[in-house]
Amino acid sequence: MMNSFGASLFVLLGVLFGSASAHAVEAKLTADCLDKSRVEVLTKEFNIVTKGEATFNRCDPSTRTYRLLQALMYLQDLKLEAFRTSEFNNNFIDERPFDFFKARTRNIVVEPQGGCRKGYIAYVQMGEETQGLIHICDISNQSVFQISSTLLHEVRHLDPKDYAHIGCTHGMLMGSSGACDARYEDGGSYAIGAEFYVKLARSKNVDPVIRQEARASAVSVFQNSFNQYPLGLKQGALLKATDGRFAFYDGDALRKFPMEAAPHSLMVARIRVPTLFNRDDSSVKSYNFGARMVDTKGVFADEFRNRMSYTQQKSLVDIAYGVNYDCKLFVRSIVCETENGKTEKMLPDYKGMGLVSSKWTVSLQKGTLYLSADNGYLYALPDKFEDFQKMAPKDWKRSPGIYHTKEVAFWDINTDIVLTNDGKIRFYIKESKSWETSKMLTPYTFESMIAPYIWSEKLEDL
Amino acid sequence: MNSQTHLTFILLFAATLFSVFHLSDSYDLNEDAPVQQTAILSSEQDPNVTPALYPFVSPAKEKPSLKTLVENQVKQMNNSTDSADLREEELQQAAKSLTDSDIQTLKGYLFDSTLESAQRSVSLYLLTHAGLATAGILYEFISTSYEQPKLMDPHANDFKARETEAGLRITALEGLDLMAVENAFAVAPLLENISANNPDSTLRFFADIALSGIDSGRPNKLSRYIDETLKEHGE
Repeated sequence: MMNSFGASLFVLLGVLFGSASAHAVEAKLTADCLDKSRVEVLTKEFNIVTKGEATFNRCDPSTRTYRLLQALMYLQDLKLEAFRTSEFNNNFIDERPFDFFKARTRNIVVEPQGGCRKGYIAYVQMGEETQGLIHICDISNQSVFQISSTLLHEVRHLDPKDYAHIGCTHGMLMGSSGACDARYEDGGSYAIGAEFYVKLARSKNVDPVIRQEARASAVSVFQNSFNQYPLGLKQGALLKATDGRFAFYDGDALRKFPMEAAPHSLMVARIRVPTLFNRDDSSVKSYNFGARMVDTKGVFADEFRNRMSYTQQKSLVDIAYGVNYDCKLFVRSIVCETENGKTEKMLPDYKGMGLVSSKWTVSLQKGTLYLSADNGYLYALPDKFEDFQKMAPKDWKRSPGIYHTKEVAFWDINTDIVLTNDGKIRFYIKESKSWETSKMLTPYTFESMIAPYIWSEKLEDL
Repeated sequence: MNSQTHLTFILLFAATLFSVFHLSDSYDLNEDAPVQQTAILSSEQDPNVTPALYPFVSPAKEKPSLKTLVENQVKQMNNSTDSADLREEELQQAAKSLTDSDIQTLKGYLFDSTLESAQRSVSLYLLTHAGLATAGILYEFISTSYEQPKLMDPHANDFKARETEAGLRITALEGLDLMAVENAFAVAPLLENISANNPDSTLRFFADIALSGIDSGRPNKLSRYIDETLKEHGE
């Protein structure tokens, strides 16, 4: 048991220590204190219930309540530039985003650590719409403008229409359920967030770093969070028909592609850029979203222009760039090279039909370069160039089945698009291991294909 | 314990309580209780809450250290009412005069995903406005993979973190796109590598657009693409 002297000393030390430490904390945090009168105004404006914090310290930025109030003050002060409503800008939020938030929110619950579904940042709950209630979870690592954007996104879900998210059909989030909206024009939560970003990025009175960050966030949302690309972009396949004409197929329509017909040319994808090796005039040109084709740079292009005979040009079947090494496939041989050397292998008892890079496919082993042969098999070329140099073609791993596929490419999260050896387009569905065709494409015969290819005429005008 | 000791104890205890509440200026919030119903406002004077505006309002003063510059800017970003045009000019000037050591410090901030995102954004802003010297760092950053969210849900924190990482890399890529105006020859191979190898399909596509600008003799096409996208939804 402590005696009276001991008790007094303990308390005194406690006072001295507590006081000194509080002074130190205060000195560190003074500059970060939220304005008291503004805190009072906001806490009158909204019914804020703080579950996780026994006391609210307006000078401690590490708390969720502090971060919330800071973001609300940011929104309160923010006056964006006015932009006229148009076909593309619905002005879902106007110059005062705070009004949009305030019109929908009456109650804010700051949830404690572990009070939300694991990893949540904020949410609204079905059945709580009439209370105008938003739950705030872990917002500690977000910047103020990011928290503001989250608040605007969330309160859109409180509207009677609910604006629930749907699955993503393209981009980085493809296949994720409930992570996208259909279109900006529908005015869902992503549209609100996207508009907020666009207006921040375009308002001259906004902080320059936030403008830069909002600009990237806006374009990222338009690219990935809506199931409709901006600027009329579509993801599909660029197809070269056997008569030399080009077409773009996006799953819904087959459109004329703005490259002149080139019947005696080989079309290959040089890092997805359509490149034509033309046997008529030994030219090599690329289409890169421009009104005119440009001369292609690189070793293969230079070799085709200047050092290949017409016979060699004619027997050139395909070119594959940059898997682990680059290869040229001829009817009877394959030549592969790196910066360190070049090796030619004669094909044994089959002819080369094409080279299939499996980098982005869903059905083939990722990262392998396959040789498609006229006997219907796919042969996996060795991963390392040194092994390609050592191994004889008869030792290359052969596919278990006969596929007759000249080209295989990614179509969507569950599907590959396939060009068969007889020039037909088919779709391989991985989940059901089944094949489908497109009626629109059935009448045509194709020679080569580049997919996935994202394109819009508008890209040429920029 | 005698009565004098009791009194000493009570006084000291009261002093402790006063000291803690006075200095921390706390609001008492009961569990589940609304803020405005339980808030206890202290009677102290408001501390000066406005962060120093230097260097933005006093450009004639001595140049601040990089650390101070970044810290001040992070604070300014919490305030939507300060004069942005002055800050833009100051930041761009600071970016142009970065030393090698500054660049390495900013690189450290940018690559550290545990830092507050505003600090990383400021670092990236300076690096993207520093000219060709930082092209390699931007390329390295774009090529650095980041954790994919466990929960593909827009309300989840790691989903938001993915958005932040993706956004920072788009900004870095636009920085390279702009540097191509200065030296397309140096930037094109970096863009080609991103186009061929980056796991992010958006970055690959954006690198293609940047390259197409170089190919057509009009670099900075990615910026024009982003301008057009934003214009479409801003007018």
